[in-house]
Amino acid sequence: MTFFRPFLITLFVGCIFVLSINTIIDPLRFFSDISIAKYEPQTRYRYPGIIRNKDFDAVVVGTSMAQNFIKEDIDNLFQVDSLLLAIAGGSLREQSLMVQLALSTKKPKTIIWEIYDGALVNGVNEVRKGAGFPFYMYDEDLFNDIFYLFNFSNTVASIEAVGDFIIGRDIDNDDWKTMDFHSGKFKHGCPELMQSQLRKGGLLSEKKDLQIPATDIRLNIDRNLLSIVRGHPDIEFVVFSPPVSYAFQAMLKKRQPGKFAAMTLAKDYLYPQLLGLPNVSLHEYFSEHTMVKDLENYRDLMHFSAELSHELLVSIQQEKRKVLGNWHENLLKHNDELSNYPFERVLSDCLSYSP
Amino acid sequence: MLFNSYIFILLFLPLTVIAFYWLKKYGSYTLSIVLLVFASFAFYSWWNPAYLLLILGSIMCNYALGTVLTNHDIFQAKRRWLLALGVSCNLLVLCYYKYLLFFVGIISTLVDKPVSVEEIILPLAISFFTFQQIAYLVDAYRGESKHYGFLNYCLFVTFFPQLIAGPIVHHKEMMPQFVKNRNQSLALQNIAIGSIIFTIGLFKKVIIADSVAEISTPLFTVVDQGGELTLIEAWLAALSYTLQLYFDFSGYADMAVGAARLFGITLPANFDSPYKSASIIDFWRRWHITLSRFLRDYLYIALGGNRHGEIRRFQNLFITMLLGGLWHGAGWTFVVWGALHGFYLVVNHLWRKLAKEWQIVNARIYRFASHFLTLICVIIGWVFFRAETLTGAVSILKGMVGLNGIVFPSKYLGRWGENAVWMQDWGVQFYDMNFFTSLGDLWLLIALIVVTMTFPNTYQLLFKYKPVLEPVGESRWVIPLEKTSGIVCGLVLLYCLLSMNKTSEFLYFQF
Repeated sequence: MTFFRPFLITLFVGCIFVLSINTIIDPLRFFSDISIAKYEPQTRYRYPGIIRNKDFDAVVVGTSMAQNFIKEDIDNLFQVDSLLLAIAGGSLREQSLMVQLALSTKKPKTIIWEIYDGALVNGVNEVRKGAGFPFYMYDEDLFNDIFYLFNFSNTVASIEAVGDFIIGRDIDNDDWKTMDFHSGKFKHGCPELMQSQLRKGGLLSEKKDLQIPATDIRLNIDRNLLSIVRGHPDIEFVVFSPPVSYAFQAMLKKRQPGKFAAMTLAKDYLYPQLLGLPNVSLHEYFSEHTMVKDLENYRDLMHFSAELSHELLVSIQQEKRKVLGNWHENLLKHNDELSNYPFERVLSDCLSYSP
Repeated sequence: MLFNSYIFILLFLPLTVIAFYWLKKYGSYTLSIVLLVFASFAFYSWWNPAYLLLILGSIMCNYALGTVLTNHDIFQAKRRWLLALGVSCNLLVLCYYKYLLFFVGIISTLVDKPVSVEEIILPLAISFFTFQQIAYLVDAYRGESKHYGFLNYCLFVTFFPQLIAGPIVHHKEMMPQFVKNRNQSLALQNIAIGSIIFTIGLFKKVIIADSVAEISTPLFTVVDQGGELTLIEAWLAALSYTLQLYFDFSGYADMAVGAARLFGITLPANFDSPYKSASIIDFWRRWHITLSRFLRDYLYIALGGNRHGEIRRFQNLFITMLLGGLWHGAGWTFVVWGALHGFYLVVNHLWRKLAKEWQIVNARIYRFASHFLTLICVIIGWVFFRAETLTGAVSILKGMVGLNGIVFPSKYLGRWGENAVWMQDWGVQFYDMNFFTSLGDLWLLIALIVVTMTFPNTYQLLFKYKPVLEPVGESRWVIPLEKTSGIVCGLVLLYCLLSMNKTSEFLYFQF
């Protein structure tokens, strides 16, 4: 029949082509580190291959606030061979998937986990909005790999890689180490940080406040954090809250009280449980005034410089801000102080600042 | 098992088709029907084998009752009681699984005391196979159905292409086909037509519906969590869901029609370009056609239809739509959605009379306004249909009329220059939001709406080949069964298969 044969042949040949090219090229370097494909810029797609194919005994996970660390810094300070696996905008679920993949693949001895409160109040199954999340790269199920091999965007990447190879374009086999380091790409301090903030995220709006049920928060923390920490008593977990700028925290408290309350509740639930675990050291930086009040450290109201990142690591290693038994009083005091902070004036001054 | 899964497309469906025709040729027709019934049970139990017993029990009871009701030697009064018993039992099972928690919630609110009931998992397709069998019982009572034999009856209820989310087929349109099919040999034309319709349906689901869902889902989540949407965000949410639901559900219906055609069975159409409707009356003739047909024949007419004057007619219409809303789900949002459409229909009937009297029906501006107003009414309805709570729905509607402010991403502040400053003077704000980052999404949605309002639908593109049971409007554009279409169809199917790496459920599965 004139329709049927071309239909079946196209489908069959197409399937064979796609499966073959993706198996041979391995566009995300998922099966092996040897490929003519360049490293994928998107962390969620790049890290599974890195975890499977590189050696390490420690990992750093978290959000974009943990992307300005330098591997050598961590290795020297903590005496480890680390892998940086922080995901920009990563939800707690995504971070937990990353940790679990690392744990099931190479059994690291240390996990350095940046926990931003915003991730604690995500939905328990929340992953990146938009193009979805490649779950099939985060498990040991071989059958799942069909989603990797039989995939439109990966086929496009494979064809691009073949094209690059034919025209002789070089690929940097080491760029995965520094791909996510963003400190050098931005100016820090006033007024640039405010310009950057207004250009990218704007200031927080009251209209975007959320009421998040306590049960959802607890479920997220239990399933995506505590179960992993409790399930691996032989592994050291270094957990720290990042130094988000004081102005941002004050703005959040005033303009989005529902979300701020949820984040406080998350800490109230998480901290006592982590403090009770012998394999965890917990460090807190949201109230470290020397860091969070100095806007010169920031490129927007959340992201801080490589220098501050280094300072942070040193501080963690020296246990300067280790959370102790009086954490709750400190948290209440900190929250009270935030109410009195004139963040609107500070931000306005920052925007109009001319050096 | 999902239609948009590799296991279904690459294994289950082709293997079942091959085995069906092989058994028909080398075994017997009965064996091929047995195969289809078993395949359908396997398809159903893939989701949860425990509920296989429920559907089996439902089939056996209804078949037995139907057989008795077909026997006209029994006294009329006895038959009436038997029918009442059959319909009640079907509805009781449906109520238990679908509405018990809802009703308990209402009672709990009324008595102001928490009443706890264990969570009940809604069996897949229960609303569909219950309605199908109620129709069979009623027709058996009316003497409008024959004795078909248990095997054919089983296939009528469980035939996997239509089992999970319709079309809600009628025994009168399926049983004769099963009989006719006995003498039909493998027709490659059926396979070709089925493949094309299935591919178009898959494209609608995987490429369009799942893409627009990426716009609608996070926005509705914001509202469900108590947040507010500004003007453009609210319209993005409403428009994207309007499109998601249409492409998702009509994509499923196309896949069902396509898959059935592979076995030589033609299903009824469930959609006829509903967003081309010029009135709400017209909309319900084009949207979920088989449900509308069921509600009309077995509820509206049973309530009295239009036989007792205008007031009773409108009352019946309203009740029918209200219950139609509740059929979709146990929640106040569905009740409001049904009531809203009941109200729309009443107003539409009244208006139609006036419009005829005023002789404005043929005016171009009238027709344009009718299309526009119908679409707006439908979109407002979908907001209730999608939102988790009434508060959430009202919040989106407030956003759609600008009560939550008008905000554009800050990048437009620079791009629009003086105009942006002028807009700011009028209260328009410019700052970045999580889910509205560019006007590109809005233009895309508007373009898709225009496509649904102007382009021919799947069945019109294949009108020459009688793709569905009903007559289909002709189209200037036709897909010919030739070499080029084969290659294009193969490429589109391949593209869909490659894009299926994040399999998502069909929206109508939850009903």
